[in-house]
Amino acid sequence: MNTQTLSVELQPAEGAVLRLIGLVERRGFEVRSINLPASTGSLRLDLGVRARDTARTIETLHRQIKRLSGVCRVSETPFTLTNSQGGGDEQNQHKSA
Amino acid sequence: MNAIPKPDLAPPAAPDSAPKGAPKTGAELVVACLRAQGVEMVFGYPGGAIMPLYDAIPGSGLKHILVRHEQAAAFAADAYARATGKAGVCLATSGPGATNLLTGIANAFMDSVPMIAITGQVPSSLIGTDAFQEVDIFGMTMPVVKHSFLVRKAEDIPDIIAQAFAIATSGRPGPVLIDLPKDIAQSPITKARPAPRAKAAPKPYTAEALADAIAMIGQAKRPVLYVGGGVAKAGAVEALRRYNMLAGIPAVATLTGLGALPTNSKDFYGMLGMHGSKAANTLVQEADLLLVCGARFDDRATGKPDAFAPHAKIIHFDCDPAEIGKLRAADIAVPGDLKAALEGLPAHILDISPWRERARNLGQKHAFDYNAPGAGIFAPAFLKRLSEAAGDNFVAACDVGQHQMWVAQHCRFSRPEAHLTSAGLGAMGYGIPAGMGAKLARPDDCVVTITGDGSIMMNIQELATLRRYGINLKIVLFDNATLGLVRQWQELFYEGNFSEIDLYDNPDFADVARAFGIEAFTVSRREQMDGAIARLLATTGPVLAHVHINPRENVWPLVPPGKSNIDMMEH
Ligand SMILES: Cc1ncc(C[n+]2csc(CCOP(=O)(O)OP(=O)(O)O)c2C)c(N)n1
Repeated sequence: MNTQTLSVELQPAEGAVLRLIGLVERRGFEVRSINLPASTGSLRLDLGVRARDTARTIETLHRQIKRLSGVCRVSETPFTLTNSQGGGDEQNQHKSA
Repeated sequence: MNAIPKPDLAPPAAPDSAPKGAPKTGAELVVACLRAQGVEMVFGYPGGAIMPLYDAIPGSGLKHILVRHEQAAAFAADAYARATGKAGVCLATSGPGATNLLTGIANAFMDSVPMIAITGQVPSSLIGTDAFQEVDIFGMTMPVVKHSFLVRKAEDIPDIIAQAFAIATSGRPGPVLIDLPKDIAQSPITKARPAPRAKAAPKPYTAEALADAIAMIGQAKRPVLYVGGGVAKAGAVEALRRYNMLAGIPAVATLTGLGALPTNSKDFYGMLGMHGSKAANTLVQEADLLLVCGARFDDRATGKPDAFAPHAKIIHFDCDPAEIGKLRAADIAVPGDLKAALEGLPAHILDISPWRERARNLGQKHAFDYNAPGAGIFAPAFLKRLSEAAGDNFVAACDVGQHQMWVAQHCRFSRPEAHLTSAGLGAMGYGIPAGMGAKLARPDDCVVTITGDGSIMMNIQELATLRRYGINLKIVLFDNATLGLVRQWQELFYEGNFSEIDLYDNPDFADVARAFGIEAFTVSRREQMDGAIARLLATTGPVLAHVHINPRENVWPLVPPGKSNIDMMEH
């Protein structure tokens, strides 16, 4: 299975990073890489993730991360924090596969 | 029964009974913030690290129910929340108190119940040093909370509590943990004040998605409404009932969806899934469209997933976008405000008469049979009769096992709050504390705990709580002297190799109840059933009916593990 990348912007609260990575592992993905650049305000984490079986989709993982409190933005393409204001997640498409 | 009069344990009172003014410590601020959120009652158990909070409770206006095990505090708070729609609150000390809450927190998480769990923690400076009664409850609960906070500064308390309630009750509800170190609770505060409450409004659905859904419904020849627990959580019960009544679509429900449509309504065919009705499972199997409302394709409901509703297109309504497409792809997804979406569906009768006819025939053909052989009490008949006799005020708080499935199959429910059950977690021990929480929340309802001889032992100590506060809970204990549901599986799927299910040496439960000061009686013959129900309903204090049943009774029908819902065993 391929490794896919998720970029996540989150508030730097107690447990925030643990919560995110724990969710990824629990929901059936391996964490293959982590990049957490130093920042002053919110955090941006780039995660390389790989599904443990074919039933797991990145779309579901994406939405599960999105609903965590303190997560501001999730994207399958990397972004930078400077122009993150107002970006937000693409609306959950109402037609899924 | 009245509450037991309380002995006065206090030393001679200091002449300071004036109402408390502005909060002076972190702990007093927590209590003031809980009051500001509208909290009237909390369930808990004290201990070292949470003593400052307990110090702030007397005279605060907060009613504290002292349980006899922290797990019961969490279950009671959970049921209090299910019964009121408001967040339930439970308290425990650090270490063992906190770990004892864990099962109850997981229970609330699995069934999306708004709950605030407040745990004492060792002082900040000792966190991470393996201090006495230190556990990382913040870390331990992370997989089973919607969110959690560890309080680092007393002045953060108002904001944390306001956020905790908003998170617990908004969108898809869930439990929130607040871990409160002892030094923070003790620290003096000067300016912090309770923050206003804030619950987020549900996100709107998109009009385009709803238009697509309406078009698809118009094309369907064999639509089925698949109703889950999310309907009641979204406040969409009336909207669903109105739509169902006018559109006339055959409906089925999950375990937590029961009661959203009244059991007796004409287009309702019962529960789907493992112990669902044959009619419900057949309808789903034959459907060409499933309108999924606040449900999540749980494996107990779907059976073998690729054989579930094989001919059906899916329209999925849910407030939680993360449920859409998780286990079954949706042809049309309508995430967002379920109530508004249901209200937006055109409510006119659908042109599906042959399908309605088919559903009616299935319903009649597969109706449950209450004529069991033998002279003993048949639990399904008892439950049906009890729920009918109790009427619209009936609330069932279930434990876990065969009796739980019989409640789901055979009780008449006129509203979703009438059925309190540990659905997602399936936690034995839920019954008595849940009944307690529900009765305290809705004193005028006829709340009945239905339990088994295995389950009751998991929180039997709460009989003392019932007695202490005079909580008029009715308990029906179906005693089959085994762990019935496990025995049934061993009989059917493990070649009758009965392993560790025999409870032949149970105590006399009626005697146990009496020892706690609770009225109790025992019945075993069928002709005693009506009298037992009448006595239960007529008793005003807490009462336990100890009902002996046939140890070999099974729950039917049943979808064997790994099988499709259509392959139901019927006996
Ligand atoms: C805490 C917990 N432990 C174990 C189980 C597994 N389990 C499910 S049903 C059951 C038997 C329940 O027995 P009883 O309460 O007597 O009910 P019955 O099935 O006989 O009606 C067991 C052990 C569980 N659901 N919860």
